[in-house]
Amino acid sequence: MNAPSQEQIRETILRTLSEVVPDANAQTLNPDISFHDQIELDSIDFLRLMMSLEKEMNVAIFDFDYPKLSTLKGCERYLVERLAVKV
Amino acid sequence: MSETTTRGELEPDESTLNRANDATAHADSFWAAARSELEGLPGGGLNIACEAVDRHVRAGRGATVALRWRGKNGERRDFSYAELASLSNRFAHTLHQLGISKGDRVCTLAGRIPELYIAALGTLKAGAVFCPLFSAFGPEPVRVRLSKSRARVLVTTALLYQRKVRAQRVDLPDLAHVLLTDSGGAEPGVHSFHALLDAESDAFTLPFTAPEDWALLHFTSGTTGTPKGAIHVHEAIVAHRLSARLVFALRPGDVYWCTADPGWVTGVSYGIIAPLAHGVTLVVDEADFDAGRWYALLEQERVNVWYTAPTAIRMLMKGGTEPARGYDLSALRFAASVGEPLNPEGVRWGQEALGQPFHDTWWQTETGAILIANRHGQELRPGSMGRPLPGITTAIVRRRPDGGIDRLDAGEEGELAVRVGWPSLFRGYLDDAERYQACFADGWYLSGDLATRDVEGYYWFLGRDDDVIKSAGHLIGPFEVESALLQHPAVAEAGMIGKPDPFAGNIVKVFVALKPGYVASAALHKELLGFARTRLGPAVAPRELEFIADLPKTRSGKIMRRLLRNRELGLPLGDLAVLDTDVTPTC
Repeated sequence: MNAPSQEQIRETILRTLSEVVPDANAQTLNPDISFHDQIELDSIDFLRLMMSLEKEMNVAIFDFDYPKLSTLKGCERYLVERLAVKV
Repeated sequence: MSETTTRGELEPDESTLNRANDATAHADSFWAAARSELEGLPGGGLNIACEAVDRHVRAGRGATVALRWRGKNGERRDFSYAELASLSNRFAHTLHQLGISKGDRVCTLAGRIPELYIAALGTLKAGAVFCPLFSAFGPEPVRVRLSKSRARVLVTTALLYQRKVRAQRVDLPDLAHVLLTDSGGAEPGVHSFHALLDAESDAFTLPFTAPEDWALLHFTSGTTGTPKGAIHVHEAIVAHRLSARLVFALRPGDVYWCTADPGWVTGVSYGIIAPLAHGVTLVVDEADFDAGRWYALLEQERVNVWYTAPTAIRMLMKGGTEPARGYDLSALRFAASVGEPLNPEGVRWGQEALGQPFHDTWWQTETGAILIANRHGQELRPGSMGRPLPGITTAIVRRRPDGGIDRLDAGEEGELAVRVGWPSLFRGYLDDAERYQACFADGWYLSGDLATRDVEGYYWFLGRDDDVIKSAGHLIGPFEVESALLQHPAVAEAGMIGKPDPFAGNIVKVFVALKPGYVASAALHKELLGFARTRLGPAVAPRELEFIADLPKTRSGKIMRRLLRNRELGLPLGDLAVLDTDVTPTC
């Protein structure tokens, strides 16, 4: 089984984010700035984002790793690494 | 016995406070003794900020750290009691310079930044009324609260002002001044918070405030109508201060952390007033929940007393007990929880992970302070609300059709009521005497919470007797949510329920009936959720939405939200004879 491409991972993140925060314009996000600083996102939203990504990508995201996923770029990097290990 | 009063477990004024036997007389003498511990103002006055800050400076404790602020980007700043006194004096001066007078409302809309705390205390010193707004509210809840409070001043950040207030100022004629904490004043009626404070003096002579003068305005939600502004007076500090000692055993020298946001009542009563009234060091963390950060903060700040909420506890529990064991939490002496009932697993998890069980506490916006608790030094009953605090008389009651109440016995289910007479009981709903009066019967405050009492006097929460829900510990009323959705051209009717959630307790779910000509679709589903969220903000917005052909209503047209909830949970629908519509979902 091939690991999903970075492009596919980004698409999944943006789609998942737009489901959790349906009023956010995910396409205009700065990938280096935290989600919290760009869109209205509370702790429950962020948890739902993490759990949805786990489900969508079929990968475990450890609670203590959540801060690493606070930006779009961080999400991508983390998921690419985790999925590479899995494969 | 049909009511419960806990007596005789006090320190340090046991002999004074236990003198009377009659419950009412006992309560009166009890609170009088508690009141006598305060400094007060000349002429019988009382001011919360004076008790919370200035008296410690006068007593030579000005160098003690009052506020230890931890910024979300790693910043750390300490404010001593002397600094907090000076800065709040400057803010009080500023308000007077802006023409703010006694009783005027001053709102804040900000995250947990130092300026919020300075504004709260300075507002109280100026004799004005402090009204916090939660920063995760969207523009609609913010506008409603600014309008209903007739706020004259708003302290906020440039970003929050731009996102949630600026476009609505035309609808807020009373809002004369906006003070931005991180920006200069770029337009009329907008000022730089810091520039104004820098121009003022550190010294300030407090105007006279009587114990019954308004001090705090906290908005809360009911089933019907717009949010209600619960009014609290300066006298409330008597209960804030005493309850913190009785429940947490808070004492000078402690480091205390309350994770609640000051946009809600807990974040003010126990996130500002009570800890400062005890002269402790208050830890304030600007960042949102992060398990690793929280454990590190408990360790680094050597937190002695921690007051948090079930949603956060459940999020910590998700990671198991192992992560906590990597931290030195030996300074932690007492942990407590508030906002919604904490299940026994949460209580015990605290013991296992932190070395301290979580003690559940019960109170409401209207009660102003903790009234029932599993408190320090008492037997903890996991899953129970605890027992009433000294000075508080509680009962389980049933309302009679004639407006009176019947008190029920142990084991019977009914409404939790509290005998009127404690200092932090709210004094009214702003401009709504009728709804205020409806909260009382026969000298008792009726909480709207359903509960039972066991034979040993412990109370056990059962639910609400209305349609408000608790999501992440925040009370949300259906009117605000449904009204926002009804502004969308496709929506004919909307009904809100709380859907159980493993972390938030409940999330807001709405059922929507569409107007003729609109068809349920995935695109419309997303559009409506986004539409509501843009207006309401993440704190209030629905997280789930379901289309339904018609909302179930009584023959008088009232939406039967409970029926929607039962259907959601797969529970029996009950007697449908009063319905005039079906409950068939369309997708």
